[in-house]
Amino acid sequence: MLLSNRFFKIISDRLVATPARLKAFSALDTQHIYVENVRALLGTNTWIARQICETAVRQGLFVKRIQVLCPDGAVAVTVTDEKVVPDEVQCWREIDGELEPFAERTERLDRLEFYQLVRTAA
Amino acid sequence: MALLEHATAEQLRRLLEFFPAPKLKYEWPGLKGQKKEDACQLIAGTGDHARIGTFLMANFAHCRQHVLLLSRQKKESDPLAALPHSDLLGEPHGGVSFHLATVQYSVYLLDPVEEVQISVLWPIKIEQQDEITLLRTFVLERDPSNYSGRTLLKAVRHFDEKKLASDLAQLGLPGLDINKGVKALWDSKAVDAPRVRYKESGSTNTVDMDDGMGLRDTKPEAYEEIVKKPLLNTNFRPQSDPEDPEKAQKIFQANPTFGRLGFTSYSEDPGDTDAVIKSILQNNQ
Repeated sequence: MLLSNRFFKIISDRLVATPARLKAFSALDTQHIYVENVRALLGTNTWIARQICETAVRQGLFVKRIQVLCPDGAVAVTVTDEKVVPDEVQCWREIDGELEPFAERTERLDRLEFYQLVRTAA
Repeated sequence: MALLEHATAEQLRRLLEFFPAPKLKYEWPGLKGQKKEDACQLIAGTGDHARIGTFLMANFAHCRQHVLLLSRQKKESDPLAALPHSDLLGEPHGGVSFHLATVQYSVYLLDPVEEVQISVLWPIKIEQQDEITLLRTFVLERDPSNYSGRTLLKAVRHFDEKKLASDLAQLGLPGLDINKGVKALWDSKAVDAPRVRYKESGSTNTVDMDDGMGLRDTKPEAYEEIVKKPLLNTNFRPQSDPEDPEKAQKIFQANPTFGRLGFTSYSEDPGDTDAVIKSILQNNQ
């Protein structure tokens, strides 16, 4: 059985196949899977959803990516590892109705993890 | 208690200004009819540090505050290590402690131009609950009160609140994901959201509702889709209550993906803030 099929079997075993959930399941962008997408889809809690994603990483099904968010929540940069986060990124802010770029140190910014399905496993 | 005991009258005055005027006048009934700034000055002038400390702890929940809900990955993690120097004010019951820190500002005044250092006493409340730590701090003003009568040109705060979250994460206290709990509160119809920011595949989206309407009641189809996604800075407003028309004005902010709440209005009922946090945590499991 393909790894991806095994993973989706784990999920589907937990999934009560309501039409709404199946629709959400098929609508998942496999290149941008957030823990919250999995949690909401399975109706479970964040801890279990994260364990499922991390298990998929260990099995080689998912890879983890990190997004560095500007203060307004916009993604400034996406990296494969915290070690390669640049010291500074460019963000934008609105001042008197005009958008102005500004440099922000990444040590002050939030990180948001997401997962990608490894294409060869699909 | 040393920071409070040795506080100057100006420091006490700034500390008292964090509190809503009705609460100050309830505790010090002789000040009825006074403006808040005058009441703060008079109370500070009493130099009754013990009474001010007791008042602070009893009325913390009424004040405008930021709440960080943290996942305690290491039992020994101490959030105070990420904050400015502080003193313990009191521990009224198990797992709850009040602290007082100092935040320094460099203030630039005009006529003549002068740089002045100002120290603001900053109350902090820490609650330890099993594997969760709640860190509550008062909302700091951009400019501290300036009692000199001179024009304030600029104030620079020597504490970077924006860096606090990453410093806490490094101590083993990352933000707790409260999407589940916040969405349960939203779904219960106790609150609705006039402004929603959320993350979806490939973009970060914001919905600003017209005329302050709530997204769930006005656009139920969009709501059903958005609750499947990570929420970022979102404003929530309690549902209107005919018996309490001001209740619906008390918007609070939540950034559920990073475990942050912001109560930027004074709270009449000390349970308002606590009730929201309790509901979120109960439904987050």
